Amino acid sequence: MSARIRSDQRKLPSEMRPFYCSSALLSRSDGSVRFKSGDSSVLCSVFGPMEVKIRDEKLDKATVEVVFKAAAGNSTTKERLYERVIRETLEASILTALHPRSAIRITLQVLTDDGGILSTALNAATLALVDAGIALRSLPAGVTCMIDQEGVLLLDPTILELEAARSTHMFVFDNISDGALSNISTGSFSMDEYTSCYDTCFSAVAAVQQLFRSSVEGKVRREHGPEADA
Amino acid sequence: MAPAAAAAAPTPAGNGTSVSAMAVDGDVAAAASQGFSLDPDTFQKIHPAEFHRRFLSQGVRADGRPLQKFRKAKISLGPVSTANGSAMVRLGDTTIICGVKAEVAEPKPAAPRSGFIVPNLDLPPLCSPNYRPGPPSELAQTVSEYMDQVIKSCDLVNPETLCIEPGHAVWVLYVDIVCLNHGGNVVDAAMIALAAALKHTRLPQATYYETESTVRVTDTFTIPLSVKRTLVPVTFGVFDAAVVIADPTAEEEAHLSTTLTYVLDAENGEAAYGVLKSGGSAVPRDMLVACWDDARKRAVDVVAALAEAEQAGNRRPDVAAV
Amino acid sequence: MAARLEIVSPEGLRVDGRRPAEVRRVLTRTGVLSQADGSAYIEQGNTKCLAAVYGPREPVKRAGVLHDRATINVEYNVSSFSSGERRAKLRRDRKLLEIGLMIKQTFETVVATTSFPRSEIDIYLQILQTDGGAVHTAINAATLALIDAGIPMTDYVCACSAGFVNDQAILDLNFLEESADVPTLTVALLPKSGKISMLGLESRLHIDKLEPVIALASDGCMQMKDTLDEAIRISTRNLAKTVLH
Repeated sequence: MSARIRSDQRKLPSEMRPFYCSSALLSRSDGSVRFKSGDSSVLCSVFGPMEVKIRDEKLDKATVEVVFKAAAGNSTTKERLYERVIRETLEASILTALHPRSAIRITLQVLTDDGGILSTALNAATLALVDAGIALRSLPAGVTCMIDQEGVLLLDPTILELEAARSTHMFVFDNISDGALSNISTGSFSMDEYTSCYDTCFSAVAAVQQLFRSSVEGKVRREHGPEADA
Repeated sequence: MAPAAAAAAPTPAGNGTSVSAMAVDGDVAAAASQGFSLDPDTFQKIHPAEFHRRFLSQGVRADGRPLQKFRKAKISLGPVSTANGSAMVRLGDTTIICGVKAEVAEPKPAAPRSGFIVPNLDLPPLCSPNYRPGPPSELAQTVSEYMDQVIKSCDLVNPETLCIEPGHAVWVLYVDIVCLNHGGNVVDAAMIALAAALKHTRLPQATYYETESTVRVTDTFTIPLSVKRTLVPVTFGVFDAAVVIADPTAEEEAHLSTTLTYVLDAENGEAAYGVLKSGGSAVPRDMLVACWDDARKRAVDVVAALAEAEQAGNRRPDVAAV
Repeated sequence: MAARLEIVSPEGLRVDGRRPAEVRRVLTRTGVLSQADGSAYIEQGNTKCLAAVYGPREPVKRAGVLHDRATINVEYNVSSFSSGERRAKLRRDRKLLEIGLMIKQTFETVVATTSFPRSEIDIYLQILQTDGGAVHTAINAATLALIDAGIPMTDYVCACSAGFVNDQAILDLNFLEESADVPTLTVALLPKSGKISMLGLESRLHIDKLEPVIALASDGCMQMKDTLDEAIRISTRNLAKTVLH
């Protein structure tokens, strides 16, 4: 592929936008993180384990609640689908059996949306759970990619690029299992395109995992002093 | 009640199913000496997950199907004569009815020639003892949303063919899908019903009168809706993160570690219009590819069922029949 | 006025070719749903209704518990594609709630609720297609579904509608007749005692005409009783066969 300039001045189709996170922003919540990927940014706050509504109480594990708020407007069924995917992904990673009959509430507020908002939100949620000190089995991380009309695979597309997408794919991988935790694909695509999206996202997730790692290391150092490194 | 039942391997399906259990507790000496049999229904109620696990370990499922066997899709077209298009789909016990209603509406100013398709899945309390009256369940909302995203992104119906008068009037197709009996795998049944009902839809002739700025609709002439593709949904369940089963039933669904849905093209199984896997256990790459291959075989059967339904279209279908 | 004249032609035939005191073709099925404890499907002409009964089961809401008998909940639902005009689904449609309440009260008198204290019986009714007489079709379907669920009742509840036009009463109105300004009376009857358990009239009818209309509707109810009875006898015979062999 010749060096094409993408809509936001990125040079390669397989280049991700710079992403970073800042944690412990909110004083009232147990854990909070802002995850920024290019111009997409999501603020996540986690409460819990806390009291659960009797209706939602589970006798053997904690109830995970996810609330997804779009940047503007009322929540629609689109937000409900995002909530379900994020909840079902994280439920498998959180050690819910440690907190029976309690609730863990994850609230996600989109600050700015410039594509790949679901994967950005999921990454924010994972880090916020870490920040809240909730025991996790693994760290799920999400990446979005798309295939445009000419069949070029673009990693981490912006909203502008998504408008010209033939298919879009969101994959979630974690750091311990060798398969996809979640995947939403829409559009029109072939099996080869699908597997190449899988492979591209799988390798791209490593970078996100690297950020997760350094963020967790930073947290440990802050809370336990430099000697905790060992 | 049986304590820690050690059951023998079950025999597949039907009335012949028997799961025998031995009492291991010392107190029930009498029972232990004779050995007692825990009838399968009771065993299923006490240890539902274990019940299915025993079956699957023998390569068979509680309803007698092999792991990779789908239930036959039974489709009938036009069960609701008040709708512009309708279909009823049965997958085993799962029964879904879908009606398409066309209404005239104003287009959005940004797209003056584009009509709309609004899919909506309803899971009323009628269909399962687990649903109670109240606002639509999360499953109903999210499946409706996913179907909407798939329909839009794969360009199922060119929205411009729904135009009556640019900037003034377009068709809105309300696709209402009602689940009548929830026997598992509602997603597949709902999407097959949607695909079948849209193919069966005929739009009445509509004329826009500029002087009165009204639309007159005549039912005497109807034009079939042009649907570009046929979507075939194929769902798999994963049990204990390892055993893949096709087309899970409601009893199996409750104990799956994850589900996997492909939306394939009816003509070309190489092409897909959607994949949905929401959380749960991880699915490795080779399993994703293998399931896709199995899904293609299933797509052929569904297409055949659709063709059969179209052939039988002249016969008056009946909700209670099949 | 022209429309009204045509409801019954000079030859004494109605728009769909029926005689004034003739009910439409009725098709019944019981035990159609595997998930429900009892279910029934009725087609009366082009009106199609599905009924599902769950229970007696544990109530979800504490507030719904009655200590001496079971509570009956009825949800009456009309599919949005069931009629000529699409009806947007409202979460709390008052018209549907009212019909549901009316049906609930009808069945509270016949179902042996005192046999199941602290439990609930849910009756869900789904209209799939309407061509007049949706309410009485739903009541008949509910009766069949309750019997299919094995819930003890003191009697059948049979319902039918009748109207009055051109100086004569007509039975079991279809959508065209209902919408042509014909006063329509819906009656639910307990056939054993002949008692009327529900009577619904939402338009103007002269008091002198009430008597013949009720009489005709009651006659229709008795015809429905035979149909329902036959459906139950067939399903019971089939059940007996499976149990005995």
